[in-house]
Amino acid sequence: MVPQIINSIDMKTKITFLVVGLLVAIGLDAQKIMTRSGFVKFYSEAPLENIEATNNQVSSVIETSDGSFAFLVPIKGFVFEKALMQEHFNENYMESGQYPKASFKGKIEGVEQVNFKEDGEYQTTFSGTMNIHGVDRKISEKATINVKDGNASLHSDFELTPEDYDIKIPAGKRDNIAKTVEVTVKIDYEKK
Amino acid sequence: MKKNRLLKGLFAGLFALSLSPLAAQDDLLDMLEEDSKETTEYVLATFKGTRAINLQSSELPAKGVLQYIFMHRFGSFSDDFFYNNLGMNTATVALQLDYGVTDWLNLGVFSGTAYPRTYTGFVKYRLFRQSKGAKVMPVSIVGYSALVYNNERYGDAKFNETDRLSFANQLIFARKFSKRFSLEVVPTHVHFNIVSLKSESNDIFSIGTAARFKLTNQLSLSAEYIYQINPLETNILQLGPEVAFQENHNALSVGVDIETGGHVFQLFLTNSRGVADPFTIAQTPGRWQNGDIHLGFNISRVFTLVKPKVPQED
Repeated sequence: MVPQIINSIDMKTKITFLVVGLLVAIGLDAQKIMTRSGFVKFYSEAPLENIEATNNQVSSVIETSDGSFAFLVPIKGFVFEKALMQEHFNENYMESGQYPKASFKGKIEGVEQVNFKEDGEYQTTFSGTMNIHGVDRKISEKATINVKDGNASLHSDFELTPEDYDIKIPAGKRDNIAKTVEVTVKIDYEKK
Repeated sequence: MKKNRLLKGLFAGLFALSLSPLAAQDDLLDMLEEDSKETTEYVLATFKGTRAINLQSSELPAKGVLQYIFMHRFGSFSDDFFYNNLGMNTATVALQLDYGVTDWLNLGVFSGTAYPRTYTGFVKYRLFRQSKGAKVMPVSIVGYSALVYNNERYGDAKFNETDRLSFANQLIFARKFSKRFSLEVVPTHVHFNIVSLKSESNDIFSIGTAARFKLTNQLSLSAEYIYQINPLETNILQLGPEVAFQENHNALSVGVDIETGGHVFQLFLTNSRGVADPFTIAQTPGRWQNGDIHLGFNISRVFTLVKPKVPQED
């Protein structure tokens, strides 16, 4: 029955069949690299005190075939040197009970230049939607992708303005908290 | 014709299959979200301070944090208020110093100047923490035990040294219902080593409850009520053979919490004058309707002695 059908198909259909088959193969080849222990730090330099917090509970995934890229940051995962600062950060500024996570969803541009199988360093740009404190904003930032021994890592430094995300800093605290904070993202991926 | 339909169906199926990985990529974030559901999220800051007002709250200082609380209770409005310089002449002062040994264990001492003079040592420990996510816990449960030494001088009165001791044991069941509203219920056991009457129990049971309502990030309202199940009928501040009858009422306190960076100011009105737990709870002759209301405040400040381990880059 099956050979009969194949024999009865004309050339054009056969080609279509082949193309579709190839597409399926590429689709199945889709490769995700991911992690649950990415690192993010923010640093705010202000006249009264410098504030720094780090978090190593960032989960992230890159679809290496098309550069789709996402990360998720649990706000309560930020650790400060002062517990009280951490409480204020969660309670008063980020309102982490209501907005427990910050996220990014977008694409790494020019991902096709990155060979995820060979050692090398690649300068890329990622752009998409950042969501912090429940507020969506389009961002585009530079990132370095490093491949070493078949493992990829992504490093990016950029600045964020809390005000952009509707994070209100009371007048009395403006000397304690900088207008913009420096963010460092460093994510080491594992192959999935 | 039949074959054609079969083929079309086949192609349609394959086409759908080839699209599905693309569709999945669109939902990378959903994938991460799905993944992170396995984590447990703990509730923070159920109360502003480690004390609701007189009662302990379910909060503990973090590991490595030293806290002091300066406490003040002015003389009541009904007690010759102006002669006593707005209650200042008859004020009670207390100082608490405590330390977060771990995130769940807090050890502390405090001393109060009057009603009666006391030295207290306490231990406070968290058993459960309200959480959602992988592990769901509807309430936080915190234990508290205090040992109180009454250091008044009593002249010729005859009593044993151990009669100076009293104890308070509490379990604090607390829940943060929303961003603004938190409530705790505190079953309490107080033990006095000596009471005045044979007919009285040395063990006083009560149920405390405290609530806070957050108005702004810096300002909250708070209220607290301690219902005694078997109140004492006497004043036991005077150790010795003499019996002084006294009605002991339930302590009711209302106040505001004001947070300014490193400090928490708690400003409140209460009919309870004692500062050490057994006396706050079981020795309250004052009544609100008689104007036996004391203005009081607690000011806390924390110092980080041991910095927490922060996550490092690799």
